[in-house]
Amino acid sequence: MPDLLAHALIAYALATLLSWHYEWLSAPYVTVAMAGAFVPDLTKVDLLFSSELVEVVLGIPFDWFALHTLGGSLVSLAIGVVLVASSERRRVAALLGLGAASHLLADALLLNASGHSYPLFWPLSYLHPPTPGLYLSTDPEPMVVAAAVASVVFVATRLRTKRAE
Amino acid sequence: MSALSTRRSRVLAVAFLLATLFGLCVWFGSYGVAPALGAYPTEQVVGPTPDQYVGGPVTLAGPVVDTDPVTMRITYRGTEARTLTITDVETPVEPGDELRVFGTLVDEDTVAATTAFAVPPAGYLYTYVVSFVSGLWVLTRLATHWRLDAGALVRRTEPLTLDGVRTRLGVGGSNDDA
Repeated sequence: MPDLLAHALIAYALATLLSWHYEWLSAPYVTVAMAGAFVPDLTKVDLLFSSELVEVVLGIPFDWFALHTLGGSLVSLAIGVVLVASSERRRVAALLGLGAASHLLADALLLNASGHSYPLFWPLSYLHPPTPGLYLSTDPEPMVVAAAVASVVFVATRLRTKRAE
Repeated sequence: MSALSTRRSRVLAVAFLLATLFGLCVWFGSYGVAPALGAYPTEQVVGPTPDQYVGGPVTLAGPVVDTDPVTMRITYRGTEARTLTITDVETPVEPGDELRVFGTLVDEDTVAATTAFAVPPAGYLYTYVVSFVSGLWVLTRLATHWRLDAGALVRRTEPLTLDGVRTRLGVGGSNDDA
Protein backbone atom coordinates (compact mmCIF):
# COMPACT_ATOMS: atom_id res chain seq x y z
CA MET A 1 0.00 0.00 0.00
CA PRO A 2 1.01 3.59 -0.30
CA ASP A 3 0.39 4.95 3.21
CA LEU A 4 -3.20 5.37 4.36
CA LEU A 5 -2.92 9.14 4.10
CA ALA A 6 -2.31 8.85 0.35
CA HIS A 7 -5.35 6.56 0.06
CA ALA A 8 -7.54 8.94 2.10
CA LEU A 9 -6.43 11.93 0.00
CA ILE A 10 -7.11 10.12 -3.29
CA ALA A 11 -10.62 9.21 -2.11
CA TYR A 12 -11.18 12.77 -0.88
CA ALA A 13 -10.18 14.22 -4.26
CA LEU A 14 -12.31 11.74 -6.25
CA ALA A 15 -15.42 12.16 -4.10
CA THR A 16 -15.07 15.95 -4.02
CA LEU A 17 -14.76 16.07 -7.81
CA LEU A 18 -17.90 13.92 -8.09
CA SER A 19 -19.67 16.39 -5.79
CA TRP A 20 -19.44 18.95 -8.63
CA HIS A 21 -21.80 16.73 -10.58
CA TYR A 22 -23.97 15.24 -7.83
CA GLU A 23 -25.53 17.88 -5.63
CA TRP A 24 -26.39 15.46 -2.81
CA LEU A 25 -22.73 14.49 -2.43
CA SER A 26 -22.00 16.66 0.61
CA ALA A 27 -19.09 16.50 3.06
CA PRO A 28 -20.53 13.57 5.08
CA TYR A 29 -20.50 11.45 1.91
CA VAL A 30 -16.95 12.52 1.06
CA THR A 31 -16.05 11.19 4.51
CA VAL A 32 -17.70 7.88 3.64
CA ALA A 33 -15.50 7.57 0.53
CA MET A 34 -12.43 8.25 2.69
CA ALA A 35 -13.50 5.55 5.14
CA GLY A 36 -14.00 3.24 2.15
CA ALA A 37 -10.40 3.87 1.15
CA PHE A 38 -9.35 2.24 4.45
CA VAL A 39 -11.40 -0.92 3.90
CA PRO A 40 -8.86 -3.07 1.99
CA ASP A 41 -6.23 -2.35 4.64
CA LEU A 42 -8.30 -4.23 7.20
CA THR A 43 -5.90 -6.92 6.01
CA LYS A 44 -3.34 -5.24 8.28
CA VAL A 45 -4.95 -7.01 11.22
CA ASP A 46 -2.25 -9.46 10.14
CA LEU A 47 0.26 -7.27 12.01
CA LEU A 48 -1.57 -8.09 15.26
CA PHE A 49 -2.58 -11.70 14.61
CA SER A 50 -0.55 -13.05 11.72
CA SER A 51 -2.17 -15.39 9.21
CA GLU A 52 0.35 -18.10 10.17
CA LEU A 53 -0.61 -17.75 13.83
CA VAL A 54 -4.31 -18.16 12.98
CA GLU A 55 -3.43 -21.19 10.81
CA VAL A 56 -1.52 -22.82 13.65
CA VAL A 57 -4.20 -22.10 16.25
CA LEU A 58 -7.14 -23.25 14.11
CA GLY A 59 -5.30 -25.92 12.14
CA ILE A 60 -6.78 -24.78 8.80
CA PRO A 61 -5.40 -22.68 5.94
CA PHE A 62 -5.93 -18.98 6.55
CA ASP A 63 -4.82 -15.71 4.95
CA TRP A 64 -6.00 -12.25 5.97
CA PHE A 65 -4.99 -11.05 2.53
CA ALA A 66 -8.44 -12.09 1.26
CA LEU A 67 -9.61 -8.78 2.78
CA HIS A 68 -7.36 -6.90 0.35
CA THR A 69 -9.16 -8.25 -2.73
CA LEU A 70 -12.35 -7.41 -4.61
CA GLY A 71 -14.36 -10.10 -2.79
CA GLY A 72 -13.07 -9.33 0.68
CA SER A 73 -13.56 -5.60 0.23
CA LEU A 74 -17.13 -6.04 -1.04
CA VAL A 75 -18.11 -8.12 1.98
CA SER A 76 -16.33 -5.70 4.35
CA LEU A 77 -18.08 -2.67 2.95
CA ALA A 78 -21.40 -4.49 3.10
CA ILE A 79 -20.96 -4.32 6.89
CA GLY A 80 -20.82 -0.53 6.62
CA VAL A 81 -23.90 -0.56 4.41
CA VAL A 82 -25.84 -2.62 6.98
CA LEU A 83 -24.85 -0.24 9.77
CA VAL A 84 -26.15 2.97 8.19
CA ALA A 85 -29.76 4.09 8.17
CA SER A 86 -31.81 2.43 5.39
CA SER A 87 -32.31 5.70 3.52
CA GLU A 88 -28.54 6.20 3.17
CA ARG A 89 -27.61 2.71 2.00
CA ARG A 90 -27.46 3.26 -1.73
CA ARG A 91 -25.24 6.34 -1.48
CA VAL A 92 -23.05 4.89 1.22
CA ALA A 93 -22.55 1.69 -0.79
CA ALA A 94 -21.51 3.72 -3.85
CA LEU A 95 -19.03 5.88 -1.94
CA LEU A 96 -17.52 3.09 0.16
CA GLY A 97 -17.08 1.24 -3.13
CA LEU A 98 -15.42 4.25 -4.76
CA GLY A 99 -12.96 4.56 -1.86
CA ALA A 100 -12.16 0.85 -1.73
CA ALA A 101 -11.75 0.60 -5.51
CA SER A 102 -9.35 3.57 -5.56
CA HIS A 103 -7.31 1.85 -2.86
CA LEU A 104 -7.11 -1.48 -4.69
CA LEU A 105 -6.11 0.23 -7.96
CA ALA A 106 -3.47 2.46 -6.33
CA ASP A 107 -1.97 -0.62 -4.69
CA ALA A 108 -1.90 -2.50 -7.99
CA LEU A 109 0.70 0.02 -9.22
CA LEU A 110 3.15 -0.69 -6.38
CA LEU A 111 6.69 -1.75 -7.15
CA ASN A 112 7.20 -5.46 -6.64
CA ALA A 113 10.44 -7.39 -7.22
CA SER A 114 8.64 -10.05 -9.27
CA GLY A 115 7.06 -7.44 -11.57
CA HIS A 116 3.66 -8.81 -10.65
CA SER A 117 1.08 -7.18 -8.46
CA TYR A 118 -1.42 -8.99 -6.24
CA PRO A 119 -4.72 -10.79 -7.05
CA LEU A 120 -6.96 -7.74 -6.63
CA PHE A 121 -9.84 -9.31 -8.61
CA TRP A 122 -10.04 -12.42 -6.44
CA PRO A 123 -12.25 -14.49 -6.22
CA LEU A 124 -13.04 -13.72 -9.87
CA SER A 125 -9.41 -14.48 -10.72
CA TYR A 126 -6.21 -15.40 -8.88
CA LEU A 127 -4.17 -13.59 -11.55
CA HIS A 128 -1.45 -11.29 -10.16
CA PRO A 129 -1.45 -8.68 -12.95
CA PRO A 130 1.85 -7.14 -14.03
CA THR A 131 2.59 -3.92 -12.17
CA PRO A 132 4.20 -0.79 -13.63
CA GLY A 133 6.03 -0.49 -10.29
CA LEU A 134 5.47 3.23 -9.84
CA TYR A 135 6.28 3.47 -6.12
CA LEU A 136 7.06 1.66 -2.91
CA SER A 137 4.65 1.46 -0.01
CA THR A 138 7.23 3.29 2.08
CA ASP A 139 7.78 6.18 -0.36
CA PRO A 140 6.31 9.55 0.64
CA GLU A 141 5.94 10.63 -3.02
CA PRO A 142 2.44 9.16 -3.64
CA MET A 143 1.19 11.00 -0.55
CA VAL A 144 2.80 14.27 -1.67
CA VAL A 145 1.25 14.00 -5.14
CA ALA A 146 -2.14 13.00 -3.69
CA ALA A 147 -1.98 15.91 -1.22
CA ALA A 148 -1.18 18.37 -4.03
CA VAL A 149 -4.09 17.11 -6.13
CA ALA A 150 -6.45 17.13 -3.13
CA SER A 151 -5.44 20.72 -2.33
CA VAL A 152 -6.18 21.88 -5.86
CA VAL A 153 -9.56 20.12 -5.75
CA PHE A 154 -10.29 21.66 -2.33
CA VAL A 155 -9.54 25.21 -3.49
CA ALA A 156 -11.35 24.79 -6.83
CA THR A 157 -14.43 23.49 -4.98
CA ARG A 158 -14.37 26.47 -2.62
CA LEU A 159 -14.17 28.87 -5.57
CA ARG A 160 -17.05 27.10 -7.34
CA THR A 161 -19.30 27.30 -4.28
CA LYS A 162 -18.45 30.95 -3.76
CA ARG A 163 -19.24 31.77 -7.37
CA ALA A 164 -22.56 29.91 -7.14
CA GLU A 165 -23.63 31.92 -4.08
CA MET B 1 -36.62 0.26 2.10
CA SER B 2 -37.26 -1.23 5.50
CA ALA B 3 -35.12 -4.35 5.32
CA LEU B 4 -32.43 -4.60 8.00
CA SER B 5 -33.81 -1.69 9.95
CA THR B 6 -34.05 -3.32 13.38
CA ARG B 7 -31.12 -3.76 15.70
CA ARG B 8 -31.62 -7.54 15.75
CA SER B 9 -31.62 -7.90 11.97
CA ARG B 10 -28.52 -5.71 11.73
CA VAL B 11 -26.66 -7.81 14.28
CA LEU B 12 -27.59 -10.97 12.40
CA ALA B 13 -26.54 -9.49 9.06
CA VAL B 14 -23.17 -8.31 10.45
CA ALA B 15 -22.57 -11.74 12.01
CA PHE B 16 -23.31 -13.38 8.67
CA LEU B 17 -20.96 -11.00 6.84
CA LEU B 18 -18.17 -11.58 9.39
CA ALA B 19 -18.60 -15.33 8.95
CA THR B 20 -18.36 -14.82 5.18
CA LEU B 21 -15.14 -12.83 5.61
CA PHE B 22 -13.72 -15.63 7.74
CA GLY B 23 -14.67 -18.10 5.00
CA LEU B 24 -12.96 -15.97 2.37
CA CYS B 25 -9.76 -15.88 4.44
CA VAL B 26 -9.81 -19.67 4.76
CA TRP B 27 -10.48 -20.05 1.03
CA PHE B 28 -7.72 -17.61 0.09
CA GLY B 29 -5.35 -19.37 2.48
CA SER B 30 -5.84 -22.60 0.58
CA TYR B 31 -4.31 -21.15 -2.59
CA GLY B 32 -0.83 -22.30 -3.48
CA VAL B 33 1.96 -21.26 -5.76
CA ALA B 34 0.90 -20.45 -9.34
CA PRO B 35 3.80 -19.00 -11.34
CA ALA B 36 1.68 -18.85 -14.51
CA LEU B 37 -0.58 -16.36 -12.70
CA GLY B 38 2.31 -14.38 -11.24
CA ALA B 39 2.08 -16.05 -7.82
CA TYR B 40 5.68 -17.14 -7.23
CA PRO B 41 6.94 -19.15 -4.25
CA THR B 42 7.46 -16.89 -1.23
CA GLU B 43 9.34 -17.41 2.03
CA GLN B 44 6.28 -19.19 3.42
CA VAL B 45 6.96 -22.20 1.16
CA VAL B 46 10.65 -21.69 0.29
CA GLY B 47 11.46 -21.61 4.01
CA PRO B 48 10.16 -25.04 5.03
CA THR B 49 10.65 -26.94 1.74
CA PRO B 50 13.34 -25.22 -0.37
CA ASP B 51 14.26 -28.45 -2.21
CA GLN B 52 10.98 -28.34 -4.13
CA TYR B 53 11.78 -24.94 -5.63
CA VAL B 54 15.47 -25.25 -6.53
CA GLY B 55 16.09 -24.13 -10.11
CA GLY B 56 12.92 -22.06 -10.29
CA PRO B 57 11.82 -18.48 -9.64
CA VAL B 58 11.16 -17.31 -6.07
CA THR B 59 10.17 -13.98 -4.55
CA LEU B 60 11.39 -13.30 -1.03
CA ALA B 61 11.33 -10.49 1.52
CA GLY B 62 13.21 -10.15 4.78
CA PRO B 63 15.86 -8.21 6.67
CA VAL B 64 19.46 -8.01 5.46
CA VAL B 65 21.78 -9.77 7.90
CA ASP B 66 25.14 -9.16 6.23
CA THR B 67 26.39 -7.41 3.12
CA ASP B 68 29.51 -9.28 1.99
CA PRO B 69 28.15 -11.51 0.66
CA VAL B 70 24.56 -10.29 0.96
CA THR B 71 22.59 -12.56 3.26
CA MET B 72 18.98 -12.16 4.32
CA ARG B 73 16.76 -13.81 6.90
CA ILE B 74 13.39 -15.19 5.90
CA THR B 75 10.78 -16.18 8.46
CA TYR B 76 7.97 -18.65 7.99
CA ARG B 77 5.36 -20.54 10.01
CA GLY B 78 5.38 -17.61 12.40
CA THR B 79 8.57 -18.31 14.29
CA GLU B 80 10.93 -20.33 12.11
CA ALA B 81 13.72 -18.62 10.19
CA ARG B 82 16.54 -19.33 7.77
CA THR B 83 19.37 -17.28 6.32
CA LEU B 84 19.95 -17.25 2.56
CA THR B 85 22.80 -15.89 0.48
CA ILE B 86 21.69 -13.57 -2.32
CA THR B 87 24.05 -13.17 -5.27
CA ASP B 88 23.95 -10.57 -8.07
CA VAL B 89 22.47 -7.84 -5.85
CA GLU B 90 23.18 -4.63 -7.72
CA THR B 91 21.53 -2.20 -5.36
CA PRO B 92 23.34 -0.91 -2.24
CA VAL B 93 22.06 -2.61 0.94
CA GLU B 94 22.66 -2.06 4.66
CA PRO B 95 22.13 -4.54 7.49
CA GLY B 96 18.62 -4.02 8.85
CA ASP B 97 17.14 -2.93 5.51
CA GLU B 98 14.28 -5.03 4.25
CA LEU B 99 15.44 -6.73 1.08
CA ARG B 100 12.90 -7.74 -1.55
CA VAL B 101 14.24 -10.16 -4.09
CA PHE B 102 12.98 -11.89 -7.19
CA GLY B 103 15.35 -14.45 -8.64
CA THR B 104 16.30 -18.07 -9.12
CA LEU B 105 16.77 -20.45 -6.21
CA VAL B 106 20.19 -21.83 -7.20
CA ASP B 107 20.42 -24.24 -4.29
CA GLU B 108 18.63 -24.56 -0.96
CA ASP B 109 20.55 -21.64 0.55
CA THR B 110 21.28 -19.35 -2.42
CA VAL B 111 19.23 -17.06 -4.63
CA ALA B 112 20.62 -15.45 -7.79
CA ALA B 113 18.76 -12.15 -7.90
CA THR B 114 17.11 -10.87 -11.07
CA THR B 115 15.54 -7.88 -9.33
CA ALA B 116 16.34 -6.72 -5.81
CA PHE B 117 15.70 -3.57 -3.86
CA ALA B 118 16.13 -2.55 -0.25
CA VAL B 119 13.75 -0.60 1.96
CA PRO B 120 15.39 1.18 4.90
CA PRO B 121 13.66 0.87 8.31
CA ALA B 122 12.89 4.63 8.31
CA GLY B 123 10.51 3.98 5.39
CA TYR B 124 8.31 1.78 7.58
CA LEU B 125 8.36 4.29 10.42
CA TYR B 126 7.19 6.98 7.98
CA THR B 127 4.35 4.80 6.70
CA TYR B 128 3.10 3.86 10.17
CA VAL B 129 3.17 7.41 11.55
CA VAL B 130 1.45 8.96 8.52
CA SER B 131 -1.15 6.17 8.39
CA PHE B 132 -1.96 6.69 12.07
CA VAL B 133 -2.45 10.42 11.50
CA SER B 134 -4.80 9.78 8.57
CA GLY B 135 -6.77 7.31 10.70
CA LEU B 136 -7.36 10.08 13.25
CA TRP B 137 -8.32 12.49 10.47
CA VAL B 138 -10.98 10.21 9.01
CA LEU B 139 -12.29 9.19 12.46
CA THR B 140 -12.70 12.86 13.34
CA ARG B 141 -14.57 13.49 10.10
CA LEU B 142 -16.82 10.48 10.74
CA ALA B 143 -17.67 11.73 14.23
CA THR B 144 -18.33 15.19 12.80
CA HIS B 145 -20.64 14.03 10.04
CA TRP B 146 -22.33 10.89 11.40
CA ARG B 147 -23.85 9.80 14.70
CA LEU B 148 -25.09 6.56 16.21
CA ASP B 149 -28.83 6.27 16.67
CA ALA B 150 -30.30 3.00 17.96
CA GLY B 151 -27.49 0.98 16.45
CA ALA B 152 -27.51 2.72 13.06
CA LEU B 153 -25.23 5.40 11.66
CA VAL B 154 -27.23 8.49 10.81
CA ARG B 155 -26.01 11.54 8.96
CA ARG B 156 -25.90 14.67 11.09
CA THR B 157 -27.92 17.52 9.65
CA GLU B 158 -25.66 19.95 11.50
CA PRO B 159 -21.99 18.96 11.62
CA LEU B 160 -20.69 18.37 15.13
CA THR B 161 -18.40 21.19 16.20
CA LEU B 162 -15.92 21.49 19.04
CA ASP B 163 -18.37 23.75 20.88
CA GLY B 164 -21.04 21.10 20.45
CA VAL B 165 -18.75 18.51 22.04
CA ARG B 166 -17.97 20.84 24.94
CA THR B 167 -21.64 21.53 25.60
CA ARG B 168 -22.45 17.84 25.52
CA LEU B 169 -19.64 16.95 27.91
CA GLY B 170 -20.78 19.76 30.21
CA VAL B 171 -17.44 21.53 30.13
CA GLY B 172 -18.70 24.50 28.14
CA GLY B 173 -19.52 27.02 30.86
CA SER B 174 -18.40 26.55 34.46
CA ASN B 175 -15.62 24.05 33.71
CA ASP B 176 -15.48 23.12 37.39
CA ASP B 177 -13.73 19.75 37.12
CA ALA B 178 -10.75 21.04 35.14
